[in-house]
Formats: sequence, structure tokens, C-alpha cells
Amino acid sequence: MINSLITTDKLCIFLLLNIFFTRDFYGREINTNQRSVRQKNSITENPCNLNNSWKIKPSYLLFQDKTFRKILGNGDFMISTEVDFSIVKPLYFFAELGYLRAKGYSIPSHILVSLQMIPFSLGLKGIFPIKSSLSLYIKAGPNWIGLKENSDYIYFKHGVFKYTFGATSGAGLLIHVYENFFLDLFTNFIYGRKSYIDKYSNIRIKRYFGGFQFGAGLSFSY
Amino acid sequence: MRLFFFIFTFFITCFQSLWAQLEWSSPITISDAGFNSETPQIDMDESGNAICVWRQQDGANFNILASHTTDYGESWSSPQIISQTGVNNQTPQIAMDTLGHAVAVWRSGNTVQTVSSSDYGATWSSPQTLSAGFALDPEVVINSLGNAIIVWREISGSVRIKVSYSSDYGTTWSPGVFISSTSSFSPKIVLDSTGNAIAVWQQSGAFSTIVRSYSSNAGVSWSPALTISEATNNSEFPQITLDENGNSVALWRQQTNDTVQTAYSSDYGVSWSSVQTLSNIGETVQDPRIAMNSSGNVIALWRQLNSFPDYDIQATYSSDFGASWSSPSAISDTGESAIRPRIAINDSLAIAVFQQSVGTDTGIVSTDSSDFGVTWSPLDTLSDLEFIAIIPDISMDSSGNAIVVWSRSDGSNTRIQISYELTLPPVPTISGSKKKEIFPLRIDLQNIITCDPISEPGTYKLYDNSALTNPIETLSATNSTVYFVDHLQNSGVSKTYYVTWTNESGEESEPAIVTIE
Repeated sequence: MINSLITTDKLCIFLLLNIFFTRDFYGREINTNQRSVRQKNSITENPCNLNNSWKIKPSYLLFQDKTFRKILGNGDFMISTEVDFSIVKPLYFFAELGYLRAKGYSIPSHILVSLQMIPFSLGLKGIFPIKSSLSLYIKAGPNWIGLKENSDYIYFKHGVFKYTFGATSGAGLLIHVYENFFLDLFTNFIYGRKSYIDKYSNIRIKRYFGGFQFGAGLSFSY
Repeated sequence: MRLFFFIFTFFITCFQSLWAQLEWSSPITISDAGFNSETPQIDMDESGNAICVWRQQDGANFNILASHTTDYGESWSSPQIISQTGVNNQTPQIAMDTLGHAVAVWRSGNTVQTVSSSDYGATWSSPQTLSAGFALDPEVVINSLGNAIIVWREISGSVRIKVSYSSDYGTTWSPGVFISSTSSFSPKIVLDSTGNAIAVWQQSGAFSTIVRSYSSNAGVSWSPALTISEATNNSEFPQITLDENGNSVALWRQQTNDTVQTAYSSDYGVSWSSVQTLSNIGETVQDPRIAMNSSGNVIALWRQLNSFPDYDIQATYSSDFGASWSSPSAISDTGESAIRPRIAINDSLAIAVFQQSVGTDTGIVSTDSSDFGVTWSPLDTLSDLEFIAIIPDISMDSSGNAIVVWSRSDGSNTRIQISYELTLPPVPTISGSKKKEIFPLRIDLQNIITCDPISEPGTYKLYDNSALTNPIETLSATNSTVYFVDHLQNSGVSKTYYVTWTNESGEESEPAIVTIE
């Protein structure tokens, strides 16, 4: 009986290991006997064979604007999604949409206020394989950033929405995890500046809408 | 600079009135309906007690009546007759101390009679006759030591000045003694809190002059009379004041040149300065009046013919116990005729009242000065118009509470009316500033109006209009700093605010004004 259990455990471990190493960096199926060949091909084959991908990217955004940092804290959690389309290897087109919601308190009266941020970026991305399971990429492109402010302040009857256009640049590492899945360690700088006359106070307000974003996402290639 | 905590003050301008226009109550009629009442006189103490006396016709004769208040004039007792009936009584005078004692005196028939009260005028003693012969024109003074002195004119060969004193608040009186040697008129007397007294009167001789006699023992003994007016000109109608340090100023009309003249003493009336003329020579002057406070501020009033039949009330002031005087100026309305001035002064305020024509009517008007005669407030009409109001008298305590009394026809009879000074709440002390409430995408620019604490409970009201209608906000507080915040202001736009303070009685102060730019 005991021998039977040991035999079963060994079999399961073997099967897991076997499944884990049955696809190469580009998602192609390989068998155990081909592993040494895959490692060789990942270095020597054209890395631009990578297909389109979709990513979900949790991150942390550090606000660039000092006023935001005073009111909302240094930053907050942001969730983003990105799609990449292959153009000409190693060049890709990317589109990225994010969402952030931060809470804080007005100054100096400590009125609860929330800020929602939606950055949307488009641009080009270059992906450069370093190893068989590791690639480096850089990207850049224009963006649109929308901000919505809401508060409990009774003197403001409604929320306020502001948007601006700017630019996004970023870099990251793609680490092959399993079959079509990759770990995306990334950083972005989302830049957008807005200068406007506040309709309540008639005071000119200048704000940086973006910030420095870093995080780890999961990429699915297809 | 910490960006998110900067509260900054812009141009702030605060305005306060240079003089505080007093507020007076509506007239209160205190004499009985159906009787003619006139010649009211009033005196008040430091605690809101006041007694008013007047004469009232009962059909055949005049009686002396008294009414008193214990609440600065707001309510009055029913009038009571304090004189003998069945005889004509007139020219009542009243004096009260700070302990509830009062002495009233009047001419009763051809005698001088007096009564006293030890309960602020609630009850009165029976009348006592002081004079021994034909007597008239009594005056009375009293202090809190129980000293009281009455001076009057009495015929004894000629009409001379006679005095009697009391050491028990007017309960008993000494036999009267003459202090003038020839025919005398218009006696006036002053008494300080320690028993120093000065009497002045008009005395006939080669010329009719103003003379004085002083007493340093509350009227027990008197100095020989001394002429204090010009010896070779006729003078009449003296008035006199005395403070607690022996400073005294006398005022009279000099007949020869028809001027108002004055002299002063700094030693309880022992010696006197040379005579100064206050009015311009050639003017027709009458009825001089004078009042002095403990700081040496003296105000003199008189009526002066403008163009017959119009008279002005002229005023002049001194800040050095009568040593030097300002040029006189009119304090009555141009084009209206004003007569019978009366003046009261304390260490913070002077109030003048007089009778003045108001269009086709005649009323009692008042004006006040918080700089002791340098400037005067616009006139305030105290009496109702339609029927004539005449012969005012005024009394004021050291805190500025004042009561004015006069007689006015009600269409059928002449009645006694009073008006008391409404105690206005203090004007709040305020300042203004701007503040930013900063949000991520917008700013609430606020105007902050800070009100300094007032020790009494009350309510601050914030207005944005000088008519003080529809307050923006109302805040109640007791002895704490109050902040009004006007939100969502526009930068570059100045705004003026008016803040009043209302006490628990519902009386609202004058506004304090601040402009925030």
C-alpha cells in the first residue's frame, strides 16, 4: 500500500514537470526530448515570432503632482489592461487603459475627496528577446488622461471632470511563465499637464495628471 | 512656505463710527391723563434708579408729583402727590444720591417746602417748610454722606439768598441762614461727595454781579460772598459745576455786552480766575448751561439769536477745567429755532438736549459727543411731533445711561414724557482675511470674517448689505471668537461685510464693517 502511494506521488510530480516544460517561449508544443533543442532555438531563432498579446496589469502609481500627493497621498493602486499587436517584428502597436481611484482629504479642512483617473495610451512597442524565456521591451506614445473629482463638500454641488493629452513612455521585462502566459514586470511614466481657470474661485490651477507607474502584470499571447 | 497651509490676508479695512449715535426709547408718558403737568425735573443714580418730579394742575391748584424708575427709565411708578394740596406748588427740584436717598424741594404758596425719600422715591416724607417768609426759586443738592443743602431766595427786607442744610439725607433741616446781603436772584448750588459746596447767585449792587459763597462743611458755615464776574458790568443767570478735586467752573450771561462769560476755580471756589467771554460780542444770548466731568472736560451751551425769531444752540468746550475754551459753534439745526439747552456729561460721553422747531412742530432733540464737544452727532428727535414738546431736562450716570424728560401736549392736556437711552450692545470687533480650501482639481476661495469675543451671550449676524437685511449667517457665542466663512468667492472681487451683535434682550448693535479684497 505504502509502495503504491509513493509510486503515485512520483508519477504526479513527473507529469507536472512534464506539462510545465511542454511549450517553448513562443508557445509552441515540445516534448521532453526536444527541450535541449528549444533552448538552443530560443537564442538562435527570430524573437519577432511573438504573437499578439493581452495583458492585465496591476500597479502602483506615484502621483507627479505635489498637490495630489498632499491631498491623496503619494500614490495609489492602479489596474490597467493592454493589448499589443504585432506590426513588423520586433515592433508592436500597443493600447493601454488604466483606472485608479484614490481618496484623501482637502486642505486644510480635511474634507473627504476622491479622485478617479483613467489614462489611455497608444503607441509603439519594441520587444527584444534577451534569453529564451526573457525579453526586454520599451514603448512610447501619446495619451489621454481623464480625472474625475468627487467630494462630500456641501459647497460643491457636483463632481468635476478634467482631461488632458500627454505622453506615455515605459519599459519592462517579459518572462515566460507557462505556455502562452508571461510575467510582465513594467514601469511607465504617464505625463499630462493641465492649466485651467477654476470656475469657482477664478484662480488658475496647474496640475500634473499622471505619474510614475510600476507593477507586475500577466500577459497572454495568442 | 507650506503650500497647503497658506492662509493669507489681503487688504483689510475696518471702519468704526467716530461717534456713537445714541439710541433712545420711544416717549413714555408718566403723568396722569386729564391733568396739565409741566416743569419736570429728573435726577438719577448709578444703579438705574431715577426720580422725576413735576407740577400738575388739579383744577384749582398745582401739586408736586413724583414718579420713579428702578430700571433706567423703562418702567415708571404711578405718580404720587408729594406736596400739600390746596395750595399752589411750583418750581420743583429733585436730587438723589447713590444710596436711595432723595430730596425734593419746591415753592409751595410763598414758602419753600421739602420732602425726602430713603427708598429711591417709592415713599416720601411729609412736606416740611424751610422758609420763614416769602420764598421762591429753591435748589437742592445731596451727597451719599447724608449731606443735603437747599438754597432759595427769601424776602427779608430785600430778596436774599438763604440756605439750610441737613446731615441726615433731608430728614431734618437746620434753620435757614442768609448768605447774601443785598437783593439776589437765581441761586445755584453744587456739592461734592465730601461736603464741599459752592453757591452762586446774581446779586444787586452798583452793578448786578455774580457772587459765590463756599462751604467746606456741607453747608454748616459759609464764606463771605465774593464777586466772580466783572464788577462793572451787569451779569445774570449763573450756573456752576464742581468736581471731586475742587475744580469748579461758573458760567453766566453778561447783560451789558450780551455775552456768555465764565470763570474757574481750582480750590473749591475759594479763589477764581479772571473772567473769559465765550460768545461773540453783539450776539443776543440767553440761558447758559454748563457741565464738567472729572477729567476736566467742560461743555457750555447757550441759546443765541440767529435771526428773530430763530435761535441757535451754541456750544463750546474746554479740556482743562475751564482754563481755555474753543470757539463756539452751533449744534442745533440750521433754519430751525432752538431754545432751552440742557447738558449732561460723564467721563466718556456728553449729551445735549434742547427744544427745537422741527418744521411746523416743536420737539425735544438730542445730540451727543464722545470727544467732549469737539464733534457732535446728528440731532435725534426724542419726542413725537404733531403736538408741541417743551422744557427738557436730562440726567445721566457715569456709565452713560441717560433719561430725558419733557412736557408735551397730548391734544387735551400737557403731559410729562420721558425717553431713556437704549443700552446698545457693543459693536463687535472684526477682521477679514481670505483662505483657500484646496481640492485636487478645484479651490474654494473663502472670505473669513473673524469676530473677537464678547463676554455676554449673544448672537453675531453677518450681512452683505448696509441696510442689514437678510443676514447671510447667524452664529451664537459667549466669550469666544466667532468665524464667519463666506464660500466660493471669486478672486479679484472685493466684498464688504457688516457684522452686528444682538444681546439676549434682542437689541442689535451698530454694524462693524470690513471689506475683503
